[in-house]
Amino acid sequence: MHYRQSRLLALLLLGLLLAACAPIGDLPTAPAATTADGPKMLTIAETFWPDSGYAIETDDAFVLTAWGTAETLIKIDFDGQIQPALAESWTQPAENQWSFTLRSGVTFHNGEALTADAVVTAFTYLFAAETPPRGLSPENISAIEATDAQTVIITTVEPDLLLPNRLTAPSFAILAPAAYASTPPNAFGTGTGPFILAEEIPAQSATLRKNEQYWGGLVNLDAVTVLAAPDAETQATMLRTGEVDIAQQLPIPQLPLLEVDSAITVVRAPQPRATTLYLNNRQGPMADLLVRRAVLHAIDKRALVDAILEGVGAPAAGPFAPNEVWVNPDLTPDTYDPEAAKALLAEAGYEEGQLTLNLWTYPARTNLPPTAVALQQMFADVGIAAEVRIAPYNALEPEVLAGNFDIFIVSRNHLLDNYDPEGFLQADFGCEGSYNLNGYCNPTVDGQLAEARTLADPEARYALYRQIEQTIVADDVASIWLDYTEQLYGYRTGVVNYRPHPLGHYLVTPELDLAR
Amino acid sequence: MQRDLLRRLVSLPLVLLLTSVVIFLLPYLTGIDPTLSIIRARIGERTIDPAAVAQLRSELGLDRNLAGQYILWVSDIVQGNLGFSFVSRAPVDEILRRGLGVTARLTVTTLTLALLLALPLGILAAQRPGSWLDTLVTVGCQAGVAIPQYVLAPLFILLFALWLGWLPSAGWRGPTFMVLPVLTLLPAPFAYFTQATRAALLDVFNADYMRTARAKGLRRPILLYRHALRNALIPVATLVTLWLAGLLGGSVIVEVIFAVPGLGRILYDAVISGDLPLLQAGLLLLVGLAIVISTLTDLLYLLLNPAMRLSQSR
Amino acid sequence: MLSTEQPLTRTPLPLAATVPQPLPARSRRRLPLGFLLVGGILLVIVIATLGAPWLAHHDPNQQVLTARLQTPSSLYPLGTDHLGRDLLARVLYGGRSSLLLSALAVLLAAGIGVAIGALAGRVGGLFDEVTMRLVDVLIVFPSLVVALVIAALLEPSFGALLLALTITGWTIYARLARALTLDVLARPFIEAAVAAGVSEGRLLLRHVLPNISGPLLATSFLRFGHTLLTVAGLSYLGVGVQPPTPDWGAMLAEAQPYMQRLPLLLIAPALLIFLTALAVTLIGQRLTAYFDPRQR
Repeated sequence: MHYRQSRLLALLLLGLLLAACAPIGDLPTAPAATTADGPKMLTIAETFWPDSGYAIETDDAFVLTAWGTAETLIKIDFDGQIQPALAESWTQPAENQWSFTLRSGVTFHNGEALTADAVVTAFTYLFAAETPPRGLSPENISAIEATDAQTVIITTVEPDLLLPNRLTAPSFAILAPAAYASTPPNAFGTGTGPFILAEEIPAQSATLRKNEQYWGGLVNLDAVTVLAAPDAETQATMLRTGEVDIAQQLPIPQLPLLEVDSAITVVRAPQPRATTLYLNNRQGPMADLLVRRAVLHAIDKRALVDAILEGVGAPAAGPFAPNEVWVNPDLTPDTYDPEAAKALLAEAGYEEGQLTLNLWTYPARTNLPPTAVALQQMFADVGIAAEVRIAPYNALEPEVLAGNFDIFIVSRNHLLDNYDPEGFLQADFGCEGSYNLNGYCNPTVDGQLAEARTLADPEARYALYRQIEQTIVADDVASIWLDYTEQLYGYRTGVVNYRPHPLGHYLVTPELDLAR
Repeated sequence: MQRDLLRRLVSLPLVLLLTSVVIFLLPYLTGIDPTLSIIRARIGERTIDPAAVAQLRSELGLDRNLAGQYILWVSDIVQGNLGFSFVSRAPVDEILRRGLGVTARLTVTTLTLALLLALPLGILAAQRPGSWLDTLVTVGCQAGVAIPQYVLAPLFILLFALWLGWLPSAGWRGPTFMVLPVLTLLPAPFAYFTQATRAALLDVFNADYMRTARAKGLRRPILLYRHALRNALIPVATLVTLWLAGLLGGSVIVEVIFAVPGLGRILYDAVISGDLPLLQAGLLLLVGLAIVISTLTDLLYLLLNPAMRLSQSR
Repeated sequence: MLSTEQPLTRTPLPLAATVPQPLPARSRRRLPLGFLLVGGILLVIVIATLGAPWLAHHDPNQQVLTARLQTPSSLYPLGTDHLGRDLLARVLYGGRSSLLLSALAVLLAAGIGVAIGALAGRVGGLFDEVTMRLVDVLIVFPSLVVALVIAALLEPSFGALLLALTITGWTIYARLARALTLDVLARPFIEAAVAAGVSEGRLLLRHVLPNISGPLLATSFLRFGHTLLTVAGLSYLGVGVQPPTPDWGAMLAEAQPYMQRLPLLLIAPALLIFLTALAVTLIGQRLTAYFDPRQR
């Protein structure tokens, strides 16, 4: 009896030991980068790891272009200019038609050739998908045809001058026809880019290999390993220890530490992204223009930038940053005037401490919670009581859409759908806009947007955008813009030819290199 | 014993059913609209098409009433279909299996190490009750439990990854990635095991039969290993199995900080993103594991404890 | 002690594995000193947090954006955090919410758990069976996950947290109360009371409860430490106490990015969580040994 017990216990312990010693995980099979004559390999950290199976109609498409594995017909280059990519040229044969001539001699990583039929397959899948990329709405597409081996013609219901512009979004990358046999489409080894998406360890890492047959020319690196780094803190640590060579999102609090590290170079990249206060224009206290103005004047935007962004960014006048061509230069971020705020509140009929607002935000962007807390203080200083609620975005959005909020702080990128603010303005401030959290409706603005869509001349469009900006920022105070955030990228010495892309579309390029 | 086992076999399915209803209803208490969550997960900040929302909702069966959805869910699970993640559309059982494998490895390694360290220390402390060593061990153990994981983990990363550069800071791509997470999880089970060993040994030392053995003149080492340890290990062994279940879900914080793709991390992400199938199946898995482990623990105790078996067979 | 009526009892609870420690008489004289020391630390912490309004010279939520991340000075004894708030004030006030929440959670869990457990012990039958099976399963369940799910799904608030902690905390009390109740009910004086015609309610309240309160009190101290760590953990994950209310766990999460620039931001709340949890647990352990029925 004793021996049986002892044996049982011994077996238990042995089992535990064996289980513990079993090899874990899978080591990336890419070769090491350090050998002098060996292959050149770089490691980069990725914050937004694809979680939809690399489905091209989702946000996962961003990594496919960023990692250099898939390409679109037309692209925005590192200087913000529209450039041909897989399409050599494009024309507008009719008012509601666009014709694209494809580059010849391009093959997908799996050997299939890039033809007009392949493009048609790709776009057909996109528009039939459950969540199609909104930049180009399926309702507006009446036909996509391949008129010959190298020409694709897209016919729209309404004339769309910005169609080529919209096709620069990563979701419109073209994968090999064989990829679309499965749902979601198989993104492994089916792109056209300088790198081939070879393998991945789910939620951990991905390996990219050089495409020897890249149509765009020589590719410097032999392989790239992408590591999942879910937050900025982790990325900073991995950059400092040397676990990664390039990090895409470094936390602002660590900037002083990173800047004194001689092995690391930090790059500050302006983003088309602004911290925005969405205000309930339809119901509640914020529906009163006087209250909205009062809140605007209660906020010291510069202090927020200095304290929370630690200078990595700038106070915002409106949604468009000073370096954007369509910005209205007459708007100013220096609207801090607590006395005016108090006067306006009194005019609106609120005594000190009488007005209570709820202030919602989410923690996914690290600057948002401290901003909410800081704003709470600023509001208190002018006699507004604010209740802060921090919850995941998905928990808040339904209630905001239903109109049960006062102020919702969002980090908003206004160039996601297309490289022109029309989409953003329509979605956020159009009466029928799909992201109109404010519940704002101004027929004049709607008219101006409709007119802008018919104008071929960019300057004429931009003039309209400036007028709209004036209206929503200064006249109607539809939203309040706090600051533009800059993204902090970092790379270790040895990395050559690295540049952040203004829209984050491309990271791994043929030029990217490792110095020996 | 048979009667107990029979009663257990009858009441456990009831418990499982009850908890399954609770688990199923839990996410709906929140008011999170799963359809919107799914779409957000796929297209991020890009603009939503309201028609797509409605279509998706009916496709996923979310427009049916709760009772209907529950029945659908249960029948699916019974047939082995755990559904597909709302976010990634990958099969839930695959995701959970991967996560479970990772967490199981982490847990088993931690518990084995804790046991191997705790046994000698517990024995040592039990041999000198009331001494400064004993007090040190007691206080030290409680100190180990009182330091939270979310304090230890960043400190370890700072020390071992940043300053010394010996270990990687996050991820799960090889044996070295296991060291820091295990080190962070270690203090709590180690403390409890040490205390349990010590307590159980002291219990045994004072028992009648031990006094008899001492009176027979047996030397201390033989005393220790043959009579005491075997019986003292019984409560410790059952404690280890209890901790197994506890750590399988309780390692969330460590998994989040060290980016370990384990079960805890998966559940945490599922909660945040409103991924209902994954969350519900994951919780059900944990309950199932808890039931299995608690039953095994009872069986283990029964097997190892001769007194229990004797009393039952009377 | 082991009767066929009791279901398979393994070690009563993981925590109570630290329970039976018959210590030699020699050392029992030495320990009260340690007990006093530990009790003293706890008392200091509790008094300091209760006396926060008088001890803190600044409003814990008052931000001075121009005075961020300052090292200790005469104006700010512990320095300021990343929004220019006085660290000392936040630490003191932070204790209030953490300690209050934990204390309430323990009280509620104890109330519910003891009620269910004692009832199960007295009534027996199907109720006992089903309840104890439920407890068996739930006890093994990782409490952090359950608390996380509940707190995250409901709007994180004091109430939601309290609910989450109570739901995960009652099982320990139920199991313990049941075992203790069965123990007490087996004693002769109960038989006498029943024969004298004492009602059920009176029996439980006047005869059972007072006799089981000792070990329950000891367990409460242990549970308090555990709950405090869980509360801080939930706040760290972002589903605990909401800003701007100071809370030790939330302060830890906020301090982490600045860990290397101003370590005190991390050390202060961490040290307090540690000391409080340690003190409470040591006291609980000592009390458990004191109330150990085996020493009678």
